Amino acid sequence: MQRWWAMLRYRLGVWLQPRRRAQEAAEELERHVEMEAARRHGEGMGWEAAVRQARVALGGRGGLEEELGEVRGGAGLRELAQDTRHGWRLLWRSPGFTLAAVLTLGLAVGVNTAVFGMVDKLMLQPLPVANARRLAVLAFRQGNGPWLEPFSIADFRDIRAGTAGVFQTLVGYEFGLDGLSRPGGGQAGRVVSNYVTGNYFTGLGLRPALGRLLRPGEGRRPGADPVVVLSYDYWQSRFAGGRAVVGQAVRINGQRLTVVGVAPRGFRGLNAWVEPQIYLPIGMLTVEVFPPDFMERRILQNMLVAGAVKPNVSLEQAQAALAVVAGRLAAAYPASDRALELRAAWEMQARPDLDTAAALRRGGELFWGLVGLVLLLACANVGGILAVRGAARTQELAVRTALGAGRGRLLRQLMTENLWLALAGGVVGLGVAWAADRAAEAVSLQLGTGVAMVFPLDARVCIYALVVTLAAGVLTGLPPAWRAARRGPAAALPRGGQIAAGAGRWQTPLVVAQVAISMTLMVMAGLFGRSLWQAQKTPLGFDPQQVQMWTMDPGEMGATPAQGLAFYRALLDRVRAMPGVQSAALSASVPFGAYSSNDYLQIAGYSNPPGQGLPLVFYNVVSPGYFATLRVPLVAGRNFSRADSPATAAVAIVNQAFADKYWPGRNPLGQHFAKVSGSSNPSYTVVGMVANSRFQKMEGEMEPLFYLPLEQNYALSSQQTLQARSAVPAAALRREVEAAVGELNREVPVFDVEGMPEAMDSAGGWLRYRIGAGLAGLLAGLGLALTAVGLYGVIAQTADRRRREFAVRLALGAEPGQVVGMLLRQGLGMAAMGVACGVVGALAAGRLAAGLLHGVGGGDPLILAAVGGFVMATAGLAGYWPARRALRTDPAAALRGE
Amino acid sequence: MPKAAGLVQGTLGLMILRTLEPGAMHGWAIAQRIQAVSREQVQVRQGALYPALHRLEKEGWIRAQWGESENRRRARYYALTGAGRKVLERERAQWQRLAAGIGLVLGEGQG
Repeated sequence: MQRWWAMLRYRLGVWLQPRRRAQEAAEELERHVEMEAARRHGEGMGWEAAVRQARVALGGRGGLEEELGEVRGGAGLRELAQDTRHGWRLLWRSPGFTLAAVLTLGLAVGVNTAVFGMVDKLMLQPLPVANARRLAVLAFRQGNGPWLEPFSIADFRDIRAGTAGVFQTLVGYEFGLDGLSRPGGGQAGRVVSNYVTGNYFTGLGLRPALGRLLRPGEGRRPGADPVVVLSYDYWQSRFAGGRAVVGQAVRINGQRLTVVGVAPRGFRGLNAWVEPQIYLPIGMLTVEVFPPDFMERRILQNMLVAGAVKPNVSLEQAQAALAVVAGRLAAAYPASDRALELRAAWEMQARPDLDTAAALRRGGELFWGLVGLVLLLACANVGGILAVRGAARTQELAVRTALGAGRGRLLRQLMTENLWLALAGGVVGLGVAWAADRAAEAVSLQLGTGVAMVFPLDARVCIYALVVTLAAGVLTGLPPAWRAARRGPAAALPRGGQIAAGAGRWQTPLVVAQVAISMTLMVMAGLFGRSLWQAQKTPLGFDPQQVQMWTMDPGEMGATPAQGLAFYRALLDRVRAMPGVQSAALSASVPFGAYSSNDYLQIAGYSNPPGQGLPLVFYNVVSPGYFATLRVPLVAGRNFSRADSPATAAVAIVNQAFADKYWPGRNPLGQHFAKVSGSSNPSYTVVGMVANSRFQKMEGEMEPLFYLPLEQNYALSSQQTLQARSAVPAAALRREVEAAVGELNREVPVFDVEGMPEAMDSAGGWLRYRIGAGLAGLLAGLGLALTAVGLYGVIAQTADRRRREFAVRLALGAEPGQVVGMLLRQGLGMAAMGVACGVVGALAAGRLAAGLLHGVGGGDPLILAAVGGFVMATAGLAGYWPARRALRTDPAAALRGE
Repeated sequence: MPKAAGLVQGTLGLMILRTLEPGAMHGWAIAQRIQAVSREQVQVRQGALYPALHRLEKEGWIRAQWGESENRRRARYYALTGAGRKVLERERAQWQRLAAGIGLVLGEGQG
């Protein structure tokens, strides 16, 4: 141990302070001369003569110091420079190999870095707030219901008061979608907003980038503090980063508020995925349509809650405190909080929300594993090539050995070359990662407004890239370098022009490994692809084809309900009158879209199972003609019509699943139910029933749904999506509709303009299968290409090596086909072994991916067989070409040749 | 530079280690001592001494420190490390076996 320490000290000293060491060595030699001179002087010599003789005895200064310099190990750096220059020259001289190797490694390192960057940003990095690692999110459930995350404001206040001992701070925020317009008029821009409690910014320890942030105490009363804080990115994009923004007035949904500051750069809210553009005090929820007592109604649940657990408090202790509060609330407010249970989970494990966190983690791990496999594949590929090149350099290495290079020295030289190759690949990899990140950001925009994932190449990601590059370099370069360095000078003896046989021994397992990895990747791609296909084939219950959509919200301009309804009525009339439009309607929510509403219901004639809260059901607010436009058949009763107005009785339409669940065996027509959170709690009478259609969930059972007429329920959703079924080409129709909207009201902005089938490709819909299939397909394609190249190389090499043997066989009368057959058999043999191993790998990966697939089992035999066959066919092709070429060798020349 | 140095160089290192066994010394003193103890049989080529010392230091068998010499000047003192002691023991045993073996062979030749 002491020895290593001494060695390290010595080398560090030389490395870090070479000049001081040189001076010390000179001083030491000088001291020696003095003492030697003193001795001679003591024996009677004159002083100058003594010194002269002492110097001579020591040896010529220059020579001695150079020798010392050699020993001291300035050699180390010199060697490194030498090896680097030599390595670069070699790489330059074989550009084909260099390009192939650098590209291969670069692609592999690049996708690894990109995936890590995304996983890191989405799942691993803590939020940029104080105490980020102690941040927890709260959730509740009632009885055996599902865990839900939105709380009521009143419940939040009680929870905060009751857990002051375990939570350092507890903040709440609600998401909203509003229209912000600047002074001077013009269209309102849509913004994602966060309505936050007064202690939000102080509790998270944030400092403003400009002006001030919201203060504790602001927002306590509805409508009290009309102030707003902008997010940093929104300030840059919409307000051009102008410093005069503080104090400016803006209109949000038509109401006047004042901008007081800008949130710090890099802060994107508490949800890692959806980023708000403005922050308002919770009291300002009055800009959206809410009952005036929204802060007290415990049945209105929209507030997400998070808090920092105190440093010396464990999660269990926090849970215990929450359980006490839950019991108190359940007893005190049985109407809304019956059988309440509370729960806290670490924020970093609940991204994007408690339900999907586990699936997301699994997806991330799966893809991390897949790109890791790609890296291994690339290393095997390049490593194989390096082994061949190492074998071809036997002459050079043998000469070096004879000149005195030890095995360690040779190894250092070869590793230096290989590491530089890897580093070049790493640089390419950073470029690949950058491109992949931009692509991912573009995809993330498809997920909806406000979901803007940013994947920068920050320090963490770059360090990861470096580590992966070095690992790849060692993995790829060390085995061939080790083998090459081990051969003694005897290997240089001419041996009939053959490459030393040792290299061939490793090729087979390397190729088998590559085939196995390729197989796994391709099976994964096949599984995801089939998932996508199945998802798209799922019967939806409605027909999205030929339906175009436009979303708008007159409320964002401050229109009153009367104005909004008039606008919508006029718009519908106009659109229906357009040529080619078969039907049109308005609806608040789009299936699998970003916006949907649900509520607790009190259903007459249905009693809740004991221990459970009220049923929570999704609903949609629609205009007449909705079911016709989407082709959802009416099963019983009647449709909504213009006759349903605020003056007539409140009506509703339910779907089959609703009727089956809550009124089994009875006629749903004429039954009643009430929404609990509405301001007036009207009781709806069911006047019709429609067939089931998918709304939020792509798989599993059909959910109960109900529909309310727009005319009677404008207050619930001023935002509506116009849906028009028409065979007219989309572009022409869009122009017409947007013109119509503009004529009616120039200020109403229209967004999310798309065809309905494209809208289905959203986060709730097919997008995740599409992403999975796309990514897996990309990796599989990459893997297959690399493997094919690797296989080709091996066969070509074998053909080359056995040139003379084949020439002899041909001369002895063998059919060319037989020779080709031999080579092909070798290639197919390796491929078959690879496929066998690949099946094992594919099954393992399939098990991991099971939760992410749709309608497909992890071990689908059809896909396994198809992929296996495809791989074998590719192997056959890859082996065929070099085999054919081998035949063209002139037998006589081969026999003669050396 | 080949690792396997000549016999003399190897033995010089061994002698240095032995000389340092009782305690730390600076370079000149080491040279004097070897000459004295070997009864002038071994003339330490002084040009070989310092490279040998640095080689031993590089291998971690001795370590160096600046100290005060007899005539109150700065001098670099070398001392054995634990590993150096072990190496000394091992090499000493090996050398003695070798010398005994050679002696036997030579003695046998004499009949």
